[in-house]
Amino acid sequence: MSFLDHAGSALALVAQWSSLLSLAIGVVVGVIAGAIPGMSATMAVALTLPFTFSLQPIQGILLLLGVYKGGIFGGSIPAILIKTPGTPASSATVLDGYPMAEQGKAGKALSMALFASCTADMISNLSLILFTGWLASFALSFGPPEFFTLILFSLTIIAGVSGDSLLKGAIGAGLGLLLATVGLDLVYGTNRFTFDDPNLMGGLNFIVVLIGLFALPEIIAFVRRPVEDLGTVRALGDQHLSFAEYRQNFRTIIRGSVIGVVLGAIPGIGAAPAAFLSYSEARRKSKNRANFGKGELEGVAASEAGNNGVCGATLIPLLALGVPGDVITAIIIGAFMIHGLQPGPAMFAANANIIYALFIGLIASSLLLLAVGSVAIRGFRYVADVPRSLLFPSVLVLCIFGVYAVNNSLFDVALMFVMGWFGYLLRVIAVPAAPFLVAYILGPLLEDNFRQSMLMSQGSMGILFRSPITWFFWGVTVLTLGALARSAIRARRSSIAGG
Amino acid sequence: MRLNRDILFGGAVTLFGVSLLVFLIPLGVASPSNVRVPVLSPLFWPRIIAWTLIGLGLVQVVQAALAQRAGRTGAADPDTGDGAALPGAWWRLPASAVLMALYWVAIPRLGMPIASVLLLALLFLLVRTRYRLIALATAILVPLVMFGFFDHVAGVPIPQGHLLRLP
Repeated sequence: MSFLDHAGSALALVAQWSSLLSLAIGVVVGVIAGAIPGMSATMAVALTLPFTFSLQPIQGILLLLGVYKGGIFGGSIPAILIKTPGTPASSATVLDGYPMAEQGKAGKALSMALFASCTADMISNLSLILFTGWLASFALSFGPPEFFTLILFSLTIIAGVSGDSLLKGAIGAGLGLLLATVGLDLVYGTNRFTFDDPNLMGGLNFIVVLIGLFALPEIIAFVRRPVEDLGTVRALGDQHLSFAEYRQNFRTIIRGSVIGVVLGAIPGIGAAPAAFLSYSEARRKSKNRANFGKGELEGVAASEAGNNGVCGATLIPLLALGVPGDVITAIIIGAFMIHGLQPGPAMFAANANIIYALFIGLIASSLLLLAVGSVAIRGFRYVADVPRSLLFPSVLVLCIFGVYAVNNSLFDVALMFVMGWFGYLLRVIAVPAAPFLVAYILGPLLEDNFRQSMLMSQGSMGILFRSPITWFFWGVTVLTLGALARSAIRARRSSIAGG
Repeated sequence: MRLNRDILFGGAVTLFGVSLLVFLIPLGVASPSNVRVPVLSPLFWPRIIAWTLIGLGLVQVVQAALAQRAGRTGAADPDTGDGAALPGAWWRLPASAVLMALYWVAIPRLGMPIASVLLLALLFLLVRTRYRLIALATAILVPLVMFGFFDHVAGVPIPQGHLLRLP
């Protein structure tokens, strides 16, 4: 099929009310969830996942992508109005957004956040469309050894999602790799850690582990400390963003978008670092740098452009290589698999219409974000008024029904509870859960490609160094680990010197 | 005290790695007798992970011990702190765990919707929500809406138990 055939088929998939409705619902859910402090875009995507089972693949994935994009923008609303970022990606928006709200310019700040987000989102989507196909065609020359080294490199994204403790992140990842071995062995079909329980022979369901790890600990933490007050919600005021102000900050928005795209395309970095880097670059280059941190509109534009610039770009490694760019795209990989799709270069050959349908849907999502965001800005007060003492227990029931729906299995519900308490234990001892999940998802891919390589070479490790592609990934893996070790040593030295 | 937690954690990880090698892998992983290439054995990957955990656990212990010696505190429990919290955290946590266990046992008997109504109501009591009337309505409506969506829209047969069967 030619490109035009694929594009036509893709348009037919997207231009149905059900696909567009899924996307719109996703954006609405994402904006609302992102706007609620205590819920994150990650949690929202995880909770939405079970609802996609009954949908067609394109509808399910568009729903999740809508939640992702809406969630990243939604976090800016409480960041500006109550100095509490709804998602980590909106942390940089607080720096100038909240001071603007204190000056009675909340409406202007929110409008700039919205327009900067939508512009960056569109640029990110265009980058995805331009670069993914090229990268996927390159990846067609990958065999199991190349994929093994690629996934090994991807595991270094654990460093990016480990927060302050790289070592604890690595331990979490090790536990995730171990949990991923539960089930039948890939080559010989023998039992691994099933202890003769038939419920474990298929392995632990990814959605159950995901919801247990990401949603339940928040609920358990709330039960332990049921704190209701979030602070005063600032009024929107009567100042609005003018076109001249948007145009004045357009260069900053473009710069932030490019930063978001570059960092988003590199597995493991995520939206929060992109937002901060965009903010610091904007401050460095700005004529009004003295005003940054005191309510500078350019600061809001920069941070929001940075974080939304990541969204489309994180899909580049996902669609082209089958490797997640961040935790949320790691969840979306699971969604692809649930619908019988394997993201990666092979998908361009087998399901190109779905890929192109996603591209078209993502362009539409930027426009939907503009519409939904405008309404959400005005409606935040009602969202913020939802008492957490009612919200969190209700979310638990939502989790239970969602998890049960995966396999109609009460075992999964029990497993979710166990994973929830395990995730809470990780939280208490400050072990980040994201590395666990990333390793849990990548572990089977890593082992599968390793063993296929060993089958090809009859056990010789030399096959893992067979091509320039493998040398490249070994090289970047070693460089990344070296850089991480060096920064960890430097951090320890500076804390010894300071303490 | 906080740093001891990190040392304990590292020690626990190391011990877990050792127990993997000594007990859990031999008991839990079946390997056929005709594996000619060791790296293809079902035992290979779990053993690699076990050794990795042992190594990381030991590094964690050493790092935490050195930090304690240097007088540096480790990461705090994120859920302790200011006095805005409702007292009684020490019993709310185990109570919520017991509730979840009882809920799971109750599902086959009461059905998921009714068991969820009870779970929600008890959780609202546990966190002592101020919005009692809304909580009561929420406790009834949320499970019903979930049941309605999953059972009637998504086609998932939600277990209903023997007491009361919803349409």
